[in-house]
Amino acid sequence: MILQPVFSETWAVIFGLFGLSGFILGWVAQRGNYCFINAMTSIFTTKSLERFGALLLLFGLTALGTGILTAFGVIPAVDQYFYNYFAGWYILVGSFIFGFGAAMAGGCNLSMLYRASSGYVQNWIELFGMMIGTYVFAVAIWPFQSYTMQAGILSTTSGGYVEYLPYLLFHSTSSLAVYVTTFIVALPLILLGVYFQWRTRNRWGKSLGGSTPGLPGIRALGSPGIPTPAETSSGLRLKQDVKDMLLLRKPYGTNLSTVILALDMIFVFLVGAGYTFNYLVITSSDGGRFFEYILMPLGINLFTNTPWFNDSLPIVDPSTLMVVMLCVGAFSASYLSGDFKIRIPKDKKRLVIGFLGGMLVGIGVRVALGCNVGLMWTNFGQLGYDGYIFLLGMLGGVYLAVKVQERL
Amino acid sequence: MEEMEKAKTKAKSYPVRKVIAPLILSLFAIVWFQFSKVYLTGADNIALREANFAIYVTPEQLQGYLEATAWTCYIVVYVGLIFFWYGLVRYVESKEVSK
Amino acid sequence: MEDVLKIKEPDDTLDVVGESCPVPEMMASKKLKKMKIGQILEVLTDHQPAVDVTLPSLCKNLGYPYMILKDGDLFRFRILKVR
Repeated sequence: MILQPVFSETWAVIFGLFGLSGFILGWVAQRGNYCFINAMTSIFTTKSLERFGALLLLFGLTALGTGILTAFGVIPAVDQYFYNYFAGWYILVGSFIFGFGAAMAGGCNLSMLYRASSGYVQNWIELFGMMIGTYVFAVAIWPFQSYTMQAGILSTTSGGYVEYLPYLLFHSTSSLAVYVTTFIVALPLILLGVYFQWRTRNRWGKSLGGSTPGLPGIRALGSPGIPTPAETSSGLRLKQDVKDMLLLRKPYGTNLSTVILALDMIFVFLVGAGYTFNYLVITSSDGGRFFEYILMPLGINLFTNTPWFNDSLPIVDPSTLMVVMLCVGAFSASYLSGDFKIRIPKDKKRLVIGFLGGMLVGIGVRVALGCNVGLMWTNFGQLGYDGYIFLLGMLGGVYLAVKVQERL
Repeated sequence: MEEMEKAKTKAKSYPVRKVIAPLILSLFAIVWFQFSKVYLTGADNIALREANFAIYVTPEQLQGYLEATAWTCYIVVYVGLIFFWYGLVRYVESKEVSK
Repeated sequence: MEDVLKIKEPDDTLDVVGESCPVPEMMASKKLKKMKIGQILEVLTDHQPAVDVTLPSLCKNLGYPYMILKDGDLFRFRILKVR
């Protein structure tokens, strides 16, 4: 191994801390109803950029955190770029397929897992579809894709520092180069995110004749999260809000979740440095690995003979525990808040769409080499440029899905 | 009086799913650990035998994984059992009240 | 104007129980387009994010007042089409 461990930890501690980070991810995403797909569909369905702004903020904060840690020498630059992805046709194509499938099925990789743990049957079906999709990819697409990757057809053959933005911009991985690049990447994302949120809220305020943003509708008694009476001071209200959130009576706000999730990513970046893929990653595991695991007790070992399974998927890695604990965290949050319920859509057509969408998700994430978390969000933390490609492709896929859904 | 009525309907509706769900979580944790110990260790040995080092995991890593999984599962099992017990008490209580 | 939501019975109902985003807001937006001004749409859902985020943002964007009633495990999300 080329990497040198940054902190001296045992493997058990690393696996344990990755599990903890997964738990936090699941818990916070469930409490904050954090959904990448929702953030993108709402641009086209409700013309709201609020959640999309939060996404950009998430990417910006992540890049800022990891970049500054690297620039100040806490983490060596090699640990930031070592696992950088390879850009190529597959990221654009894969993210488009992924975005389309996820918006049809109603869940990106993150929301699919936490919703499945909160009892949404449609997301169980989507998860199953994703497993089948991964198998289809492995048998039908991967041999072709790996050929184009090896031959360098519309693809870069080496990830790592070659796609590390400080290296691309300044031909250097020095602290100064990383420092400057961090701001070049993070600042526009953060400012754009804040601007999108401000613009959306501003428009809401205007369209309702200047009533307070956030409280335009009247809420009947008994609905959760009743706005506190207007006469209470803002200090008291904040205290009440914090109490409600701690007691799980109220979901976390979008921006609070954004900050916690960014910190979670930075936590993993620190813990795993020098040991393993030190970013939040929840893709290769759930689709491929769990399909492989389910078949193991039946005596079918995909890792011995099936393409992709036999060359790209270690038997176990820290992300395995991350995914399992994500589900446990999401289940705990939904159970304790009273939100847990087995929900079956009335329209059975949706289950079929869920399965087909799930298959496309499985194929899309594998073609793109990662999902919205493991590739897009992670790659902003890696100071690479594949995240931008993924974002573009995914937006396209989501747009198409919204148009198709409108006709269904 | 009205308060009592309300409390009654609320107590009556303590759902069975809330009692069973934590038990399923605990069982899942046990199954997950046993699966890891038996099948993943077995799979790693097969990978070594076939000299497939792209997917083979070193013994230190696998041991670390099993150790972390064991501890995590202990926690999940106990937390699940606590909630199961709490749910069971609430469920029995609600049955008593409705009688 | 918002009092209408409390008094008047809904003119149309959209049942999206068990569905998750983006279905509730998309179906609601589709249905609202077909309705007349002054009519009320009631969306039945058990998807918390739809009640907390997506349906309110749809209403805020269109400038329609709304009201949320909790009915057991379900939410009745009433929207008044004003323009």
